[in-house]
Amino acid sequence: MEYNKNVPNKKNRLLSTSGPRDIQRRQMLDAQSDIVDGLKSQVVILQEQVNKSLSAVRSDGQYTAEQVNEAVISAVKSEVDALKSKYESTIRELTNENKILRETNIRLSGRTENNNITDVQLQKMLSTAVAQITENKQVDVIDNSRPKIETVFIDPSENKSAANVETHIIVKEDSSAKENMNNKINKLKGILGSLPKQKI
Amino acid sequence: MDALWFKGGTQMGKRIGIDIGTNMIVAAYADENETPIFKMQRDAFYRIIPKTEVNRNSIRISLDKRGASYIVDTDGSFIIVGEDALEIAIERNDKAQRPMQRGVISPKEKASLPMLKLIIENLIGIGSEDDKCIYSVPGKPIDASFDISYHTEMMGLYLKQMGYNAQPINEAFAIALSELLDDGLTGVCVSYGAGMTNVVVVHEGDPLVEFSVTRAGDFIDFSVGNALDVSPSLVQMEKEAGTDLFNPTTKIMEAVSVYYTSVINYTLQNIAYELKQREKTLPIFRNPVPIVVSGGLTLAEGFVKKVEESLLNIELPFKVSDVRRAAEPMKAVANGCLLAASI
Repeated sequence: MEYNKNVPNKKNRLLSTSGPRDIQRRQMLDAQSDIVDGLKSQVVILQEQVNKSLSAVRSDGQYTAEQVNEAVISAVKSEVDALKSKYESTIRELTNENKILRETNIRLSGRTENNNITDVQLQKMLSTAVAQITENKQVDVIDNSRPKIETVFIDPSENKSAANVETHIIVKEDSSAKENMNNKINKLKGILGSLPKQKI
Repeated sequence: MDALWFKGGTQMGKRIGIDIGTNMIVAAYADENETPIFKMQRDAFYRIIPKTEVNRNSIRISLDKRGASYIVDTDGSFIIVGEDALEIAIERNDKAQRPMQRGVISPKEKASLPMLKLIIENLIGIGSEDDKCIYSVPGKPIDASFDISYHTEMMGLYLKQMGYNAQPINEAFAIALSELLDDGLTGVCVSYGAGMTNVVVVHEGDPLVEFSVTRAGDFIDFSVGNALDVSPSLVQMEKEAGTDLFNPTTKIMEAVSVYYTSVINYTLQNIAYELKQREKTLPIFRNPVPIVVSGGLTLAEGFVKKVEESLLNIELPFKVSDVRRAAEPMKAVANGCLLAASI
């Protein structure tokens, strides 16, 4: 049997692919590559299935990843809101308690100055305050949106005008300025438009 | 009192700017050519109560001869107004009264308030409903605990009683309107007055920082007076006669120069502090910005140089292009108010 000795292998050696064992090995490799191709196509099919199960509602009643994510976010948010409202009401209650205690303190300091307060009276006042705190859970917090009393300014001076007195006041005019104001007014209008409301 | 001083009739009284300062009241209006005209009066008065009828006549003759501005009150006493009030008070070893302290009027000075009204009324005349009057008010003080709301409201009330549609404007911002137009209304304006020093940092027309400090001209007068045991009024008169901060000729002037430096440093340090407090909210100043100084104190020779020297030790969140004095330091606020009344 004549061998084809001119087919080189990777190591540049000849006579490596023409023997019966070589032929047998090549046949085995061909069969294995078919198996690999079959497995590859299966992987592709499985990948598609996984993607579908992640994006759509599953028929077996379980949740998708997005649904689980949304549910977690919503649960955390509602828990945060609940805690927030809980502490807000606690703050309101504490404000109310503080108010009652402050009033009690004012009453007590007034009595102390007169030196006529007894321990019994003190206990009674404190227990009244505590009772008020426990009973009066109604919130009385200052609300910023409530109407506020208008600040009134009264002129303390007598309404003396120049008509009532004899005036000899000499005021000189200074007309040394020569520049017309129109240019400046136009510039000002260009930058500001109108006069901004003053923060006073 | 009438509006006769309005040249050309009623049209001239339509827009008025008024700088109501502790030491000086300056009014501005525009003539028929839209050129600003200024009138100013020292914000001080001194009352002389005649003992007899003869005394009354002699006082009147003396005041007329002197050319002094005065008012004969309903009780027959003479109230000398303005510059003459200061001079006559010093002549009599007394001190003139001032309706305002530290930049504002106070209910405690109620006896002085009618005088303030008279001085203002004499300067701007009686207005009509359409006449617009922009008046200056100080910024909120950062080193004293008094409220500027009372002053603002009461001045508004007085001007309204005089017939004007009155609106307040921050004193330092008025300087910005007058002096920073060519800089796109960006820069720092400091008004060194008698009762207060007012500051604004403005960026493209937006006042970012507005405040005042109570260290100003009066502080210098009282400090020098205390240090050298002389009358603050005398210090004021000497100071206003001419001050050269780098070449003081008398002991009083030496002390004045020292306290000038102190006030300048204090103001600039507070500007740096206030800006530092707000550094996170400040806009970016792309270009170096000017610092404009104005007010009576800046008339002193060498004032701008003193500010420049002080700035070497101050860290600001922007570069300073130049320090300059307002074109007319005594009129810049009134001019800014007039411009504000014109837009």
